Amino acid sequence: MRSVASRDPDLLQTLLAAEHAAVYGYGVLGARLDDATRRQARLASDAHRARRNALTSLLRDRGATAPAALAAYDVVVVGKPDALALAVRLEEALAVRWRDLVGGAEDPSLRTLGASGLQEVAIRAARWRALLGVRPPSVALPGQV
Amino acid sequence: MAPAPACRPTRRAVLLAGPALAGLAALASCTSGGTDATPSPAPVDPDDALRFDAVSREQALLRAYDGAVAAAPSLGSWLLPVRAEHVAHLAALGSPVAPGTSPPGARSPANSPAAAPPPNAPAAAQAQLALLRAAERLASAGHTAAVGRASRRLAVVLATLAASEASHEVALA
Repeated sequence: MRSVASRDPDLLQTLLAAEHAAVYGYGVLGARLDDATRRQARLASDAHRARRNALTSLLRDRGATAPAALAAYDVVVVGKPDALALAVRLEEALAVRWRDLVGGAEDPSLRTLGASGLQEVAIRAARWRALLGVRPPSVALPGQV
Repeated sequence: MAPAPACRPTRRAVLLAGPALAGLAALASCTSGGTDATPSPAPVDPDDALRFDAVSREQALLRAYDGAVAAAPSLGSWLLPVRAEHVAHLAALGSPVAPGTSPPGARSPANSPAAAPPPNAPAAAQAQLALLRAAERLASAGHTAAVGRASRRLAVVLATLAASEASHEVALA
């Protein structure tokens, strides 16, 4: 089913690396939020962990290497607006990767997976933008750069 | 895979007539044959039907927004930027909307129809927002369901539109 030169593992690995970064980023930014928004950050972080675990399994099932998280990422967050802006950036970066999976995967089931991942991150990005007062908080083409 | 000559409205028909009328046009053109007289059917791109459906969903959403603004004009400044994202969706599907195709209520400069807003505007506005949220969910689900059947090129567009529509739930909250 998969051709020798399939890009699918590459796409999944790039995506997994971005999910690792998101989990780390939410750990940092959560500390700068108030209770209500911190709860939202925790839910987001949980969702990214779940995606990270699923992608890791998916890669291993396919006999490909699942990259581990880096020891640290270059993230500096000073205050709440900074934290909200970082949350938006994390979700937007992931939107690009999930969208790449839809547009690049040879396996149609990965395209469907990519579509669901893209929806999740687009919704979260909109929620964070709304907290920043961005109107409308949605974008027409999430993940398109 | 020898495709049967499909009876499907062309994109031009969609643009000219809108989905409801295009459906009638499709029926009309389907009944005109009967004999298998088409000598060399043009190759059918499976994406065409999926794209047609997606365009129909986006056009239905535009009508829903126009209806909502007509029913609750106070929502206009809030809704029109979101509506504009659906115009961008049509463009992404290769089906730009001609300017001036929306009903006057949505585009009149003052955004104020002749009738005064109803006294219970907040309730009416809430009802319109709920309708729009439901319409967005429906369109998003329709786009998503087509992702697995589309070519990669179309799948990425459908997934992008579905994600935008899912996030409209936040914009309409």
